[in-house]
Amino acid sequence: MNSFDIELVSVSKSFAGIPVVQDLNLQIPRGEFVSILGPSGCGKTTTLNMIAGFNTPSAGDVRVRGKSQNRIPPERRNLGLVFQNYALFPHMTVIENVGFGLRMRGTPKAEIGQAVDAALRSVRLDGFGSRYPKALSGGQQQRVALARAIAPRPSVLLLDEPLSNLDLKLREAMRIELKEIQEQLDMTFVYVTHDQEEAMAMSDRIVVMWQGAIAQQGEPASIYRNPATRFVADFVGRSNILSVRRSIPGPTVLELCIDGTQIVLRSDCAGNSAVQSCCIRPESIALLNGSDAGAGGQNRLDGVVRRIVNLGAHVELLVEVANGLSLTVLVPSSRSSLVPELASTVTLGIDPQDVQVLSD
Amino acid sequence: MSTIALAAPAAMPGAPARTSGYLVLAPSCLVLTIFFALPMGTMIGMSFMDAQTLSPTLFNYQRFFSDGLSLAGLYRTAVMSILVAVCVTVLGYPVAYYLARSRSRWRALVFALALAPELAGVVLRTYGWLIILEDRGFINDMLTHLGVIASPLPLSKNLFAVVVGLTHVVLPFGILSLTTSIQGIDPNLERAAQMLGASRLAVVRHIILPLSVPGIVSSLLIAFTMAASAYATPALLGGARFKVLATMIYEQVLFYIDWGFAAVMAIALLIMMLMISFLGIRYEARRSSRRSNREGGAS
Ligand SMILES: Nc1ncnc2c1ncn2[C@@H]1O[C@H](COP(=O)(O)OP(=O)(O)OP(=O)(O)O)[C@@H](O)[C@H]1O
Ligand SMILES: [Mg+2]
Repeated sequence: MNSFDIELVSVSKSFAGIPVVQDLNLQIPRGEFVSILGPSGCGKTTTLNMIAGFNTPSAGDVRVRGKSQNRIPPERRNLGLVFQNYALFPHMTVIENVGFGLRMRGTPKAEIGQAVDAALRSVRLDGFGSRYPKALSGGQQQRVALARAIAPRPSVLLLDEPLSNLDLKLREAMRIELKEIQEQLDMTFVYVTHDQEEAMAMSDRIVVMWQGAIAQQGEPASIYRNPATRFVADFVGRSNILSVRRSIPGPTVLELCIDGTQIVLRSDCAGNSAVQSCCIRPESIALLNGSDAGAGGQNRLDGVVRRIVNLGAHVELLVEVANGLSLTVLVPSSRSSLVPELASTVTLGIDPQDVQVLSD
Repeated sequence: MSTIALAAPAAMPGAPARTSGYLVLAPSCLVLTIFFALPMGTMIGMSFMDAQTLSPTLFNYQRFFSDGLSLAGLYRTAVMSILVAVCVTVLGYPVAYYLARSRSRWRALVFALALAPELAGVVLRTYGWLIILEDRGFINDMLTHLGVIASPLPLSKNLFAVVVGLTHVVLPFGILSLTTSIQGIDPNLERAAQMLGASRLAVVRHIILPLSVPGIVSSLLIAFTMAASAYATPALLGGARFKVLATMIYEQVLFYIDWGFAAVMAIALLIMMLMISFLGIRYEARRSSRRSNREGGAS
């Protein structure tokens, strides 16, 4: 007996000969909130459908609680699924919708009533039970869909971009609620999204998918701090991605000669001479005062401010550090006194540990 | 039409916009008046006229209700139409479901096969059935040869034959209306139900059937009215032994030249169809308003 709720073993799927998911290996431990994050069309829904049983893998094996799900239809997998468009039954009231799963399992009436009440309470929708879906707002429908999926207490809940039809404020509130519900119920959540902030905010673990394969997986913070590939660095958060012409491994630091310039950056990363690119997060670049020498081993670059964009909480600067090479720098608005004038010359400080080497 | 109605008020608010909106309807109103209202009026007028003297009379109506034959014809028509409506809807439903949901490459073929009979024309298809169902037709011949039966089964010139023939004629229309309705149901609803533990059968019973009621109602209505007003099929397959209003009307006009009495029977047929349509439409309207108007106690 292992403790994985879901396992994908070398799963591939192609439609009419066109590969959509390729050799996917994924293990989702019990009780974790795992996000599958990737751009549109990378195969997220296809993967979820294979777990749910609506798509049969072309190759490989899907296991739920250690058991191969080959030939087991969706209704017998005991999984929950929340749809992007909610898919509430329009001819049933909220109570009937939420109770449907239990009814199909032949639960006694009295128990259904209690479970429905509990589910509606956990999504804070008590009092809406006798309404039809039409008479609910998008956010409320979303909650009903969630309540309906959790009412039969499936071991795993699959969610396919469930928040993408909501406005920003509601989406942010629902992120926190979803996470709370997941912890309360101690259920495994597999959450599909293309919104990296959403994935960051809720997940215990993020699986970044690209072109039908896993690009990287790990805790949100580690993915953000140490993106493995150019794609991940670009897709998760914002970053300056620089091409490396030559890299010289040293005893403590790696020296990276940036392509097309005279710039040499030191990085703490272990690396070899084959490194082709590196990434620097905009918020990890510091603006140094003329007098401020910065810490000892810091990279220092001089540049000219070419553009200033006010983003509210942050001010974004585009600083040209060499011919044809500009870096994006994020400065918190609270330190706006630091923000230089347009076309002025500034000095940037970059810690070697913030220069992330990418494999590609 | 709607573009004009919507766009006009912005350009010139007030009455002119409304007039131009109605103006667009004028041609169709004209056509309807000439080809629908006028013949209708004439027919109603004739029903109150004595065939010989052309003087006003209620005699045709009295006769309809008292001669026994006419009411029996009305009853046969109703029974036949109800049976056809039910057969068409029941047989058409699985085909419609397949057509609405399948993504297989056979779909196009099934679609063509389902609708192709319509191209053959009513009379041709009805003759086909006659050849199969007659006393000396295909089925009876075969069964007699095989020694299963001694004398031919009564497969034609009766209710059974007419219902079979009409079901075949009307089926494509039922399939079309059911397909449209089922196509309008979000496939994710079925998946959602499956994820909640519903078997294929339960999905159909709890999700597809209730949500396709509008399609079922319209299929029943279309099939009923088409069957009730059909002439060729009941005439060929029912013959003199199984007469319905449509064939009786024809008989009155052609053999007895009693236009007044024919008009009364036509009106009876019309009223029956209107009543059925009215019932169906009202049922559907009630159902949908019940769903959207009801609001629970929001906290
Ligand atoms: N039934 C199908 N037949 C053929 N191709 C398909 C089918 N379903 C999906 N695809 C293709 O597979 C690819 C992945 O689709 P999928 O729906 O898994 O993407 P996704 O990651 O969920 O994207 P999104 O974020 O836009 O929902 C797409 O290129 C899509 O065109
Ligand atoms: Mg998708």
